[in-house]
Amino acid sequence: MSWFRAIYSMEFRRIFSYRVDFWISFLGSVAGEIAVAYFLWDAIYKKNQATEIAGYSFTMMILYYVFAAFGGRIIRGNERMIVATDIYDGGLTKYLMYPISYVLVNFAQALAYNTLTLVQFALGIAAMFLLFGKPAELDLEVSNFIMGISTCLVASCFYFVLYVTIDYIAFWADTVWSLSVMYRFVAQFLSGIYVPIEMFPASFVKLVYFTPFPYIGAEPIKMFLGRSSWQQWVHVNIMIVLWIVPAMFALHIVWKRGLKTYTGVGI
Amino acid sequence: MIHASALSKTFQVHKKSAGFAASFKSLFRREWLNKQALQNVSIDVEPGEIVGLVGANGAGKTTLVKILAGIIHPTSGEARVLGYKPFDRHNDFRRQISLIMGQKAQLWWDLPAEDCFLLLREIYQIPHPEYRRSLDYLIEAMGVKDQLNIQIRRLSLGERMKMELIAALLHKPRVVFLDEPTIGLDLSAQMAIRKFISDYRKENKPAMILTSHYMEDIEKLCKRIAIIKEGQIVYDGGLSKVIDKYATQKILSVAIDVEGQPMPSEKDLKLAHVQGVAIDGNIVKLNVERKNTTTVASSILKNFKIKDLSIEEEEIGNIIEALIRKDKK
Repeated sequence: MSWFRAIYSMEFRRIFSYRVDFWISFLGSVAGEIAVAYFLWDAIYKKNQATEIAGYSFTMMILYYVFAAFGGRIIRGNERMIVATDIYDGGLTKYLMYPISYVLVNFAQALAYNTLTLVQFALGIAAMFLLFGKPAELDLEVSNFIMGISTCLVASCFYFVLYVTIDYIAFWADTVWSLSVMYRFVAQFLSGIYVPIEMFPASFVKLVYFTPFPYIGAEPIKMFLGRSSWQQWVHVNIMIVLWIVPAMFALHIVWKRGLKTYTGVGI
Repeated sequence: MIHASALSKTFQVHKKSAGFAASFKSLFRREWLNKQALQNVSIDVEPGEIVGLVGANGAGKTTLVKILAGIIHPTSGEARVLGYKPFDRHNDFRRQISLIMGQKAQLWWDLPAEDCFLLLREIYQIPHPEYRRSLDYLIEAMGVKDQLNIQIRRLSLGERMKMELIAALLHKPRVVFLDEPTIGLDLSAQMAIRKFISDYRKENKPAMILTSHYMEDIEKLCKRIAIIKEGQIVYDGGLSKVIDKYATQKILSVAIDVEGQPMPSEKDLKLAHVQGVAIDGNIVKLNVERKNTTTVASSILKNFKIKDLSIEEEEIGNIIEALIRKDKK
């Protein structure tokens, strides 16, 4: 699998080729998400004169969004619709010629992106604590970070498999941009990236836990916030792995069928 | 080495009329057309052989190449390349073939060529000394040493195509598909690529299929051609035999002796059985039906004072072009 390492390393070289894009996405995107959450929840807490909403103080709520922004980026990885674009413009052809697995090529590329988001996470959290100090309510336990980061990485595998499966729909539909955006919205909403799941009605929360989404959002965020045990960590990771198995099966079926409809346009 | 028997491929294409109303209507109801790209195509190519696939745009050349390279699935028929079914895309099969597409970049756009080659070394698991030897030879042959560290997207078309060729041949494939490798290139780049392909073939003896719209590519590189028309192979054989089979005319080239007499006019030269006349100075070229060549040559000798007379065959390119354009059956 030395080619896997080569693709992984090549993706870094590709990302570093475009320095403006690199620095904007590295520094800007997470800061924007956190700023929006800060001003929104500041207004909500002030308007309701609340000290706690759904079990979150204002500080913990903002920390929730900090970890949601960083953790979410690790989980979502690279959402550039590379696969759908390759199918649409015939770029897939070259990968069909090489003696390697196309999905693993994409996985190597996604992993490179995940590595960068991990670095971004470490630097971002360190910078925040240096600038604003460590919040008194947050337990800075190493185990919380180990649990959170490892779960985010496992969750990113699930997110990747589902994302690529949706991209494969391009074999039939040509463009899947709207489907991809819809998936991202639904996945983030149900996983508690936009709003903590605890704010939803209890019956709805119960239903949501029948889907894989809380395990790839709310649960790892709780780990960062020190609200999970090692027992819960094991449970969450087992649940994600159990969801990955059928998702990979679906990916394989869609790939096999889609490939038969591929026409290799553009040549 | 390459074997295809009764291959057919039908594509379903969305038919869409022009205009806003038709576009809006297509949101709800679509008309689909079945386009038969290949019909019962059979072809065999032996090791060391290079076959020129010739045909008009949309004739089915690239579809055939795509099927043989394992990119698309045939609707019916059987293909075997190196003993493998191409669409199974077995890794051992893919390690031994290569496809060069003149119209589609295969190298990584954002990386310099040298990085792309290193990646291909990993993909094809080429041992380092062998990789170095192959790469040095290919770089030298293509004359691109100074462009190795420039991003692919910043190279000229000719330079990029040379890099594409190097990338495609690094692993010494036993089967090579060349799909319009010289398209859009200037004359010197075309010549360099033709020479390179020819030398590579002599040295490595792969089975090759070449598609090109440039007759010079075909004439310089292929002894055998397959002409595809509307998805069917209408001719498969020696390039020179095309003349025997399809040439209907010969060309009489006559050098008129104009010393002490005026040059005859086009009207004077339009003798019986002459189908076309082209005059350039004192050189006249007459298109004559093959069976009447001797009769016309005798008339020329009888009616004009000439310095020289020769009988030539029609240009192969013109014959093939006429065949492709349906002028001839």
